[in-house]
Amino acid sequence: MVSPKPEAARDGWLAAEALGRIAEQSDRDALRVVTAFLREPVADEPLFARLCSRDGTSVFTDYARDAAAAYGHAGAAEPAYAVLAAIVEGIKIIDDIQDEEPRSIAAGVGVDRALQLAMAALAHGLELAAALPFDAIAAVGRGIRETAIGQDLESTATGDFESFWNVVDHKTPPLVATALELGALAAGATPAQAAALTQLAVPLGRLLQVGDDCHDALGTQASDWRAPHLNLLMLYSLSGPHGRELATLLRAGDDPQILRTAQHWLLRDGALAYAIHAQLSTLESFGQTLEALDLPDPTPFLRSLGEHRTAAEQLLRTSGVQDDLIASL
Amino acid sequence: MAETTKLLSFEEFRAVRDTPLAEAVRQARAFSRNRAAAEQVLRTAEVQSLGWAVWDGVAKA
Repeated sequence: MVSPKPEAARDGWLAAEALGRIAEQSDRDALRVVTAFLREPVADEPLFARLCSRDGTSVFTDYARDAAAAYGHAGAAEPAYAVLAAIVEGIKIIDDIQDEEPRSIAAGVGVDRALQLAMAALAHGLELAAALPFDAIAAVGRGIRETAIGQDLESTATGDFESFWNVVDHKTPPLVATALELGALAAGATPAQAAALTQLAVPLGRLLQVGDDCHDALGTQASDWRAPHLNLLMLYSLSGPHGRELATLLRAGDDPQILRTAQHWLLRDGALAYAIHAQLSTLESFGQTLEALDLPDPTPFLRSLGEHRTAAEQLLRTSGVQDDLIASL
Repeated sequence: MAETTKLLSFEEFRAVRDTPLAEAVRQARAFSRNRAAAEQVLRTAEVQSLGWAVWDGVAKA
């Protein structure tokens, strides 16, 4: 096993940004040459074949499906699922290197090989996009480029409120936007309609990121404690009146008992309450944006909004907040 | 709903007083002082957030 080196992620994001830009700006013949070049070093590897065969659903395919359903044909998005799966695989490989994730492809095959696999997966996604029956390459290229730029912003995060949301708003929404755009285009929306739908990407990206941060701060497999300034709940507590106490505790090591105590302190400080506030605030913004879009059928997004709201209310209820109070929030 | 319209900064959130949001935060923080109750909250938050996770829960399997 080889430890991923976070500085190598920078090379990955720069390469991904360049690939996205090429996809957005070049003709199909030029793009074909570039993607074949990127696939070549790993083309015969079983691991690459496995990466390319993962066409399962994810939150991103859900958004493509919902976007297609909003334009009357949920099933139309299905051919785009494999595109999204390949792009997500490529980005996740680089993200895991950045996060020094011990259970990752880079940990298994080394950083250099992992970066080759990541670029090959992104190239594969673009090749699949080129084969779709609608023009998807620009949307996919933009998603890759903007995600790479946003992910790289993490390295410059300054550990304050503004910096945190700046990173979030640049890191996750681009790929959400790509998923929404592909789904809408697949269902026959005009390019302008598909582009308008991407206004939902920022609130949806924020909802995903807050959920991710709850998971990474409070779960038994919590991993974000290595970079607490990038996690909403940890940043909230560390910047609060007990921040120094928490920082001292975390320096004592990553023993499971210490981590559990730190998790209890997050609850004590109100960090989870803040995360739920962020969810509720974002849901409201999401609802307002959705209403302004005046979609042919907003039902799929309204359902998602309702599910998030119900989950937030359930968490408040579990947290001991009275029902009448929850209704007023 | 008006109270949740704006995303409050950390400082603004800590400073809220005499509103439903402030009372909800007070109740949640008081509840979590009981260790068993806090454990239940942590388990619920983890299970729920699995459905929202982006990268760590990318594939729904």
